Amino acid sequence: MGKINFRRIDAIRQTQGQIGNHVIDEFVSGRLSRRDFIRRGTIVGLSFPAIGALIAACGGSETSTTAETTGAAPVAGGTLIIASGTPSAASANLDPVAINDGNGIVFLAQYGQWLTLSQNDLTLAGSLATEWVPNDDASEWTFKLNPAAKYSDGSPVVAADVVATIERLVNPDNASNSLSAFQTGKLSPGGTIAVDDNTVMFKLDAPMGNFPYIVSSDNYNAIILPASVTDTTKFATSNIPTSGPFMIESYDAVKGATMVRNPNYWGTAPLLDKVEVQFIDDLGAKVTAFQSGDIDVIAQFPVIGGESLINNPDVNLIEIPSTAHYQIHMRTSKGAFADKRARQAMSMAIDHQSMVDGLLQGKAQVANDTPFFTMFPSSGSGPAREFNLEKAKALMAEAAPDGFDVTLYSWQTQEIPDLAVLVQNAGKELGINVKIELRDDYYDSYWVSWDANTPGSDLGITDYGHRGVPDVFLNAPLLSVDKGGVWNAAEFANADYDAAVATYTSSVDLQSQQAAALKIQEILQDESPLMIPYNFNFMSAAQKNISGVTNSGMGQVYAENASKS
Amino acid sequence: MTSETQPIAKTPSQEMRSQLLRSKTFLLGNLGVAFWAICAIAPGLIVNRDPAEQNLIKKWTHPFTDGFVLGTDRSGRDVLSRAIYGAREIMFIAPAATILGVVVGVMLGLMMGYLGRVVDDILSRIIEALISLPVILVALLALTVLDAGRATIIGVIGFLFAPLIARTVRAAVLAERNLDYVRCAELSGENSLYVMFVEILPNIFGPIIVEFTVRLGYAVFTMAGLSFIGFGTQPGSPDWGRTIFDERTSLLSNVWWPSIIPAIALASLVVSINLIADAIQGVVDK
Repeated sequence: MGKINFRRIDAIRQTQGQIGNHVIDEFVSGRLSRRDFIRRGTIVGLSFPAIGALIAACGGSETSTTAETTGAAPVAGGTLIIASGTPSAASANLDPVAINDGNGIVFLAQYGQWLTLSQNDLTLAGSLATEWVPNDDASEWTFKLNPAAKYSDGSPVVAADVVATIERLVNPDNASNSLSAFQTGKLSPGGTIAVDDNTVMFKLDAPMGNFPYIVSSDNYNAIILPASVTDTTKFATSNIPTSGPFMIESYDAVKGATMVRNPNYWGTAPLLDKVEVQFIDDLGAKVTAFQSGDIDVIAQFPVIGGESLINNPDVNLIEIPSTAHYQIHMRTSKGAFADKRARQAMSMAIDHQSMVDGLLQGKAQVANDTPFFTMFPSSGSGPAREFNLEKAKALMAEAAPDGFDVTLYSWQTQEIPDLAVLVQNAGKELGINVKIELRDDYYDSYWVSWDANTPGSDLGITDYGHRGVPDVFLNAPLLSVDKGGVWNAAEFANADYDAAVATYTSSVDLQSQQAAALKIQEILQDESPLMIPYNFNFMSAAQKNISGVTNSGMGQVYAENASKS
Repeated sequence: MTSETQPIAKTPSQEMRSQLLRSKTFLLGNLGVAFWAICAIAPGLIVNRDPAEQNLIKKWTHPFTDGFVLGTDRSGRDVLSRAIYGAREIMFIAPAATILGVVVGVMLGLMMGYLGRVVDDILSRIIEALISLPVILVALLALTVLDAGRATIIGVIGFLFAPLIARTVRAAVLAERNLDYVRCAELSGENSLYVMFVEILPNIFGPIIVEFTVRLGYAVFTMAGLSFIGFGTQPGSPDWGRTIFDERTSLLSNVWWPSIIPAIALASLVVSINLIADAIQGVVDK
């Protein structure tokens, strides 16, 4: 860091609250790297100009966190054809409250907008909100809306719309897919308040340092809709006004949909006339259609099966490091893995590095059986999960010398079948006979034991999408059920863990988060309710004549700046 | 003292056996089926690599490289071992399902052909309805509702083949029922069961054997089709249909061996069975 211009820093300080100034202090004192400062700064509401000015005042050069996309020269007009899978039953009507899979998310990005935008470098950018600030303990967050924002019918986006949208999503009676995200964000019904037409305040149940992510594109269900909308269940055919660059023209739940340019779009007008989404489930068919030029973009593809796209110089490969991952849960409360030593043994018998190098061809990062991925600054330098077959066998000899049989449940998507076979082979080394059942009803019956009719499973694989912060991963799948662990497939209940997560969630500075994160990682590696061998890159493909298409690790495909030459 | 040896006339079944043993297609077909039967019973005699053993850094090793005669698949597993071990499931399920179908079909066909009248009318209408349903679709439905284990697959394929076999057997029985030996048995007071199973059945054995071999080929295809779409086998199983499904996208990267080798194995088994069926049909028709 070069010479520090304290006068310039003080000028910026005066515009910030206590938490903003704390982040500035950490950066000036050298406890935050430039990258981490940019990221923390965007979370607590520092604007990009202010961040750039602070970096310059500390002797660096002003910088932008957005990357320029390159490709063919932009041309106006045309239809962009995106291949995506058929949305799940919950997503079939494109109801923003219910959408629960990547195939539904592809749509939300075309016509929906969020208060904030989670970017691929894990920073936050404004979208419908231009600025946001916390109070002194981060238990209240105030968002300013962009006064220029308006819907496709020309009406403005106002605070009452945000209140109505968020209240619908936090209402437990609405079967909202984002309920767990808002529980993580400590936001309850009645907590969203319109201060004036352009100002919204979120009064949280407890301090939450990463709250702006809870209303970002990471929480994909939270697209803002007009307050007048009371029923979203038939969204695909309801002509509900939206604020995004495109709007739905036609929709067929089997074939796909066409979206046309929003004539009242308040941002830069899209170059494309239309975006067409075609439902193609089979990867081979998708790749063949892409190679023949019938489709322009494949929204997402796995490394396994997608090799012909990865190694093809004629393909515009879009690869985004993400925190998307698979959680392999081992039920802690009963059954085959009730003994902690059996869980530890299983975890130690899986070679994470060779999975990344071999199975994923390096298109992933090694993880250590906790949701603290290396991408998250708050992860700090947590302990690595040891691959040690001898130690694993010794643990199994103590826990279950005769081995045992167990069924691994999951569903057929992406790399899951291959991952399941790897787990099966690791089990074989320890005398664990793993039978694999891939079922369409995994999420209905064999994921979480909701009640007597849903048995859950002793061993299962669940796919999790990208998040810009680890909060959702730490809460819903791992907290004790009475503390909000609604996706707790491992039935993990540990008071020390719950307390450590509470500390982490309420921390607003990176050092405190890292301290809590270290404790969490130690507990998770010791108790081993989950195996998380890696987090994988988000892979998408576009034709060479397509430019301006951007993706997010969560699965959004943004066509706002796309063009087709 | 000398004695003249008279040539002893062969019985029809002896003549049939003799003709079959002189048939090259029959011998070739049997050779193929015998090879896959040995693979299914004792694969360890032919290959010594574990078909499930993964070596991720040896993904897609070309054939005849690093000691892998037929290369490796996307998980670095030996393609040759998987092709040999892959015969196990299909060589058990397909014959078992066919035997079940033949047993049920023969009983139904005998009853329809011999008892006739109301029994024939009712069973014929039911069978016509069943035959009109596509085998793979009905199998899919059944396996979705029921547990898709081995026993269910055998039961479903056997149940779906039984009406087809019953029709063939019925036709054969109709040709026999008015012959003298049947009349004699009836006049001597034998009951219907005796006439059907002791008198008629041995005389329609030829068509039944032909039907068995033809249906066996179809059973192999049906089983492979079901495992291709994910029924009856676990992920990672070396079963041919499953492997073709799992490895099919490798073709897009010009990696042909993980999917084409099991396809060739499957084709060779079906062709072998059909060669046997053709040879038997030729002899029966003479």
